[in-house]
Amino acid sequence: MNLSYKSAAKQQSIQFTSISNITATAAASAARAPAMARKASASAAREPARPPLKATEIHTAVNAVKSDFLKLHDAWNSIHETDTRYHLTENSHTLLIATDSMTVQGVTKKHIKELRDKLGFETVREGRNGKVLLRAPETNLEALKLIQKAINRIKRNVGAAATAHPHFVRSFYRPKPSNAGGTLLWNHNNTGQPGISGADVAAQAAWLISKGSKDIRVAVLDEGVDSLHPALKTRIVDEKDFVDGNAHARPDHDDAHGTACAGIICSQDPKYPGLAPECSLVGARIAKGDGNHGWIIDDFNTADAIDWCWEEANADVLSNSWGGGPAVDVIINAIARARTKGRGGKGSVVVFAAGNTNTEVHFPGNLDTVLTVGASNWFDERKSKVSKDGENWWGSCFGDPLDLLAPGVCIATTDISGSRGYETGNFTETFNGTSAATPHVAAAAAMVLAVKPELKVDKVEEILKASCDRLNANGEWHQEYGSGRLNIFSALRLAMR
Amino acid sequence: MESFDRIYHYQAGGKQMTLRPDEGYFGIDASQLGDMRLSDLEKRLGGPCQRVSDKLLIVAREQVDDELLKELQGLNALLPVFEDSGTQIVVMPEVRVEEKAPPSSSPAGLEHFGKWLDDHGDEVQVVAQKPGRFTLAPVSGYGPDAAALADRIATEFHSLSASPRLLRVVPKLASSS
Repeated sequence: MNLSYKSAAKQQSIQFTSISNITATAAASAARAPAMARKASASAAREPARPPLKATEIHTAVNAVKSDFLKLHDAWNSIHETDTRYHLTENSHTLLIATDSMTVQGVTKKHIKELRDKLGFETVREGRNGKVLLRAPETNLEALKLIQKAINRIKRNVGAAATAHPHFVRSFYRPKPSNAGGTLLWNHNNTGQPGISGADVAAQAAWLISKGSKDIRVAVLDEGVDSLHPALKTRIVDEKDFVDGNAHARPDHDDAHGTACAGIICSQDPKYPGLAPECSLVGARIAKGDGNHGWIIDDFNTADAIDWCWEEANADVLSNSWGGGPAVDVIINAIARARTKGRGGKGSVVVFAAGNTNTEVHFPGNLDTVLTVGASNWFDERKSKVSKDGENWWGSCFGDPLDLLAPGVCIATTDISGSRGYETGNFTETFNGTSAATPHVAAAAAMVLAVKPELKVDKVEEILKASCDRLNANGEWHQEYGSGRLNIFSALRLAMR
Repeated sequence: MESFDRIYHYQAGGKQMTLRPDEGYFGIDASQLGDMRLSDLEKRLGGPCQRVSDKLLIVAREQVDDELLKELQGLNALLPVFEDSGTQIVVMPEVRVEEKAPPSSSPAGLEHFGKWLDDHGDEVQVVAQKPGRFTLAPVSGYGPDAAALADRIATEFHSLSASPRLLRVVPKLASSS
């Protein structure tokens, strides 16, 4: 059954097939996949924003939406007792289900009354701006035929001023994020397959000099660290909960963020090693998830945590992958105390994430008393919404406070052990954001202190910035790159001079 | 609804900060509910509400009908919610006063402040004190009054910093798919 209507001044014509044909159609789609891929590829050349699906992906997409469609069908069928009819768009990105309803707009009450009297439609509800949802008196194929009749009638009697079209239910195929773009541990050693060879922090070279030291403590201030994780538990030397006052700093529920940050620094796992696996770890729980991709942070508790880290837990480095909202003196002061009084007066290194909103660096990353870290990708680009990694929903903040970049896209690290967290296992390979970039710099600071523990905080900061691989053409600081992308090997060599 | 749409100020880093109300939300202080149980309140709100602590909820204003609004106002349980670049903020009724960092060479600032506290005992309570720091509460118990109090203290005592206690709901910085 073909439905024709006008949308955005263009004539649309869509073929709908009965659900009973879905299996056959899915198989046929898979068979047509190579041709569809070529066509999609040609289409993508005109519209580069959407990458073409590969043949195997098309087959997967059909099966993915089939599963969703069947769920929708079950839900739909129980209400409408109709044979659901569907259409799978050519590139398999969208599944449309034709319902027994249609939407009209710009149509007078007289015309709606006509549809009622002549064709038996009933009004389901009136929406905003004059939209009306109407239901056909029939079901199944007969409903679609009546809808087509109604569309034709409106077109004839009212003309271009009105819109009338079928009411669809849509199921979209969501492509996975571009995990296919980066190889595992590209941040440690990038061979350029894909990306740019050397667009990494030179971890393997750095490890020839140092992997950190148990005498150097890195504190992770976050929503908790899984201190029982097999890859972290031997490094934990202290922990404290500033949210609920628990005897440990382990996270609630799926609050996996802090565990992921900690793993980047000192995971002991051979497949997912941390950058400074010989350093000691301090966990400070300062936040908890709000159940909606956000955190709840109490400023006074956070300030107390910062003070506890440098003063009682003797943290040499504080890694902070959090921020946002207005500045407050309690946090500014606590950071200043860490930097001036920590490490017996030499100053603890305080590292902060720049933020992921692709705007100006947010507080506290915008303080000049912290090292502010943005995110780079395997092409050595500042992560932005249009960078080549394809993750177009976020970008690393930038501006005057930015100090340097570090890898922050698809980073492999520890996840809360067991089924909680980002994945069902103990590790994740897609930890993202300036949250991921920040612990790279924290680990680097710890490794510099491992080889030169007498350095004061400003010297450590200077070394990390001076040894960056320059990303700006003229080699100078730039508001999008800071001093450049972290190079731990170069930092250690500079520290040892 | 004027008091919930008022702008407040305080100072941080030597600059004036502005707290602008998020006009779509209320905060509800569950410790002020009296005989009303939290579970009953949530039923009357008729939809999801965000618990930011054991005693504090953030709810969309449209969930609070006129009758409930009057009741909550009568109990002094309603609080404004502020918004800053995607972060929601509730001001708790506490102020922390401490020496500006790096600490000034003279501790006289806090000594003078102690005298000021003695003179303003009808407005301000001392909740806690430790070397170099006071934690205060406005006698009103109303969170936003803490912002106004902090602003006033920071204005009068230049060697001291005064911060209202903010509870923030911020987006996480890990961008998952």
